Amino acid sequence: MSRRLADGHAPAHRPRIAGPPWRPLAIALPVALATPWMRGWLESSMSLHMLVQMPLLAAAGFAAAMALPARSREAIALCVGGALPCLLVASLASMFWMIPRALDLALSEPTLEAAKFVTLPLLVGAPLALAWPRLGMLGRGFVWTNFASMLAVLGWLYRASPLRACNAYPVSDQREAGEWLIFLAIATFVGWLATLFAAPSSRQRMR
Amino acid sequence: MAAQETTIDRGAHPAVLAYLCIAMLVLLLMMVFGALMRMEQAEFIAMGPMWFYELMTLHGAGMVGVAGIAGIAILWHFLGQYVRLSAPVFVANLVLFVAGVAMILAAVLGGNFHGGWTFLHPLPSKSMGTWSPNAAALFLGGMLVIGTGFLLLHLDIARAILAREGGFGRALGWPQLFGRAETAPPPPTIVAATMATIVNLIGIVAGAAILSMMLVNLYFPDFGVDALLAKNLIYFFGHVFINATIYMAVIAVYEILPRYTQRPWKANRVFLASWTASTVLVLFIYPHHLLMDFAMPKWMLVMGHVVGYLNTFPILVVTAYGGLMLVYRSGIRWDMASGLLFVSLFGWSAGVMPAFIDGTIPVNYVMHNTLWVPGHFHTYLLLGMMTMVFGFLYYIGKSAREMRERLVDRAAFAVFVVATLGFTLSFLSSGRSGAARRYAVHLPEWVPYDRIASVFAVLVVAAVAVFATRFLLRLPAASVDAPRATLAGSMT
Amino acid sequence: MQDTAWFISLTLMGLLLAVFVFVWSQSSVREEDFTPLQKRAYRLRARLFWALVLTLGPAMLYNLIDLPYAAADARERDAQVIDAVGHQWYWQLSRNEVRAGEPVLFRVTSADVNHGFGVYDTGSRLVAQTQAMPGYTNVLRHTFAQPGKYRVLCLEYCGLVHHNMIAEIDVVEARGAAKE
Repeated sequence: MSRRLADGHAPAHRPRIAGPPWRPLAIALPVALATPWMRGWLESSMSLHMLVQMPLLAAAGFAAAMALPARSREAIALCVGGALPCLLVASLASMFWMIPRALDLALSEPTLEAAKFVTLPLLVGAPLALAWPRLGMLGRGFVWTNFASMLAVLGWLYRASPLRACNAYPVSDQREAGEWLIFLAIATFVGWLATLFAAPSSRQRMR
Repeated sequence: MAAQETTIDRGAHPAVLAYLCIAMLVLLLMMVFGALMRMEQAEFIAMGPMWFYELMTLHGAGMVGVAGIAGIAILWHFLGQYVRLSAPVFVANLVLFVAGVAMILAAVLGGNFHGGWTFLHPLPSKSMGTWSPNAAALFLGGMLVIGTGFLLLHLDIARAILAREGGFGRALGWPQLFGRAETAPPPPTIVAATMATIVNLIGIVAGAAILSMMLVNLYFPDFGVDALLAKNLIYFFGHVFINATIYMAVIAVYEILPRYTQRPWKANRVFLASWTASTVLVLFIYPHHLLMDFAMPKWMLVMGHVVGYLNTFPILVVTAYGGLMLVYRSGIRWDMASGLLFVSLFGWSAGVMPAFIDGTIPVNYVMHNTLWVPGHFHTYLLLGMMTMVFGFLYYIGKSAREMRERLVDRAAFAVFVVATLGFTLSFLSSGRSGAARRYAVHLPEWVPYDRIASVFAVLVVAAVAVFATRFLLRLPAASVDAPRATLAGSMT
Repeated sequence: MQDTAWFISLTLMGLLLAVFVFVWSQSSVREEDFTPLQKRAYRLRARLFWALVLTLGPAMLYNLIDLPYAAADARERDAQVIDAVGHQWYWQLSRNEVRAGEPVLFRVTSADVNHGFGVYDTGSRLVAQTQAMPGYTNVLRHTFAQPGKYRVLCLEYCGLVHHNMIAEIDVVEARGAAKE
């Protein structure tokens, strides 16, 4: 069942992302995140809500898609039109959840909270997992660099905003979230660039 | 006599020629703008400040763009002989470049945007009504489009290099430099292409961030961008990008001079150390543009000063010296290609002299933003970087039939070198006298220098027009695989 | 200072020119065996490297003494203070008359875009400068040696009338008028 038991050779033209136990993760993550205790803790500050809970939800969707057999993944990806539509959907969905108002609504409206738990895995994490193997270095590099600069600009927006954008969180939370975003932007970019310096075997592992 | 194999030099891909044609046409137009600027300052013509500052904005942006596409075309041509590059991505960059140029032209000529090519925030947002936010957005958007094109192209270059070498560290020769690797280091072209790619990937992402922030600020002014942060990001991006063009163009020297002299340019330990050093130095030297921003952390300004001195070493001790070593007692056959490439090494190293001097803080105190600044960068960009490009043009346009240049070429060569030196020395001496840069109207005491400079400027334009014309006329020969180097010591 | 920069630049550029011309003049004869030539060249290069280190190093360090940035910490109660604000397109100075021979602290900022506060003496020489940046105050410390009419020119491109942002500072005789 585990990936580690599969024949350890990478397919000729598609690097297989080996390592993490996708199926257990795909189940454990959403269950853990949905518990009242986790929800309460992760939604207590803007930074935790936006930068920990939401990415973890997306990661759950990513893991779920990765848990599917490769052929199913390819079939679905072909169905939706390839890597580009997947990336578009993932970008739009994640952009929606970056809007402070969305964070507010998730906290005040149960339907939107449920939507968050469904759309982040399904419309962000899963499409990314479908698209990723189909992207070459160009596509991936473009995604990483744009993601990094987008995080930086978002972080600036949160820090520079003259208004309190979110009713649910104080302005100090907003500034803190902005600073974390900028830190993440730099870390993402440096991390990505560092993988290009490493020798091939370790780089493929990281991808 | 030792047997000289006549190796075939690869002809240029049509896309490379397209890049160079566009580069030369835009270059000539930008040079005319530049000459008009000097003539305005010399009071030979009277176009008025609005036109002056619009041409100034176009001249700066256009020249940086020209340097970018010409440099990367040279890189692509030679790197393609070692790795497999994607022609569609290469062409896509050119398309995005032209689109960006169109946006910039529309912003300036249509929207009267004249915020300078450095688009220093908050100037694009604060024009005193002389241009609209839409015009500024079109300009910044055009820069973003051009940056996106280069980002994609550099990603493809990175992919190709990594496919061959495995990692950037290997591509920079680190196993040979730091370890005891028995294998041969990568060829100089790969080392140079790797360095330019690494620094541009970082610079362009920084540029994309500040351009996006400024675009938001244009329409939502309540979202303020800290002026000092903006200046840091802008000058980091700008400095890295324009310097990368020289590090790309120098590949022509590394590839062509060895062909002419029949001596190899080896990527030995010193060479590799120098290029790794340059990778770091280019990223940390940018505070030398901010030495008069007293609000900066002092350590960063000292770093800019120090790195400016360190940066002279790779250029002088490795590249210039290496070229001199190859040429000395080589029996080299001097023609336009070899002559221009040889001169380009002088141009680059000579230009770096007033550069590190201006990067010395007490000097910068009285010379920052005087004409000394365009003085030094016109030296290493015109007599250095662009001369590498001109040398490449003559090399690639050579055919087996026409191995000797005509009188008009040699005359253009002489005029170009002398006039460029005269032109840049006029800038430097103006700066010495305190002439401020970016002034549409000069103080009376500065005007005599401008008049001399105008004469030289016109001569430079004429010489470059000859180079461009000759290249365009020889385009058919440029795509042919043929021996191009007149070999040293041979009888032909 | 400008003259020193000019002459040193010219000397270095001239040296480089001489070297290039020399190598060019020695290029017509071919020394077929490159290896011994290369060895000699590398030895010379090592000496060149150390020569550069020994000349540029001290120059670099020497020029780090007495940087213009310390003024921000200046506690000169008797200094003459001028608050300077750059606008598009004029300078707003809190005063425009100071005494020669005594330090002046310029507190420079901008109300809109980046400007450059460049102080020119009576002979049109640039003697001191700092940037005028919105949101920041840069402190420039300068002592006018001679009385006379000094000018402030804008040294950072700021738009259509960048070239005409000129202010005047009257520097009068020092108190007690003791001429040294």
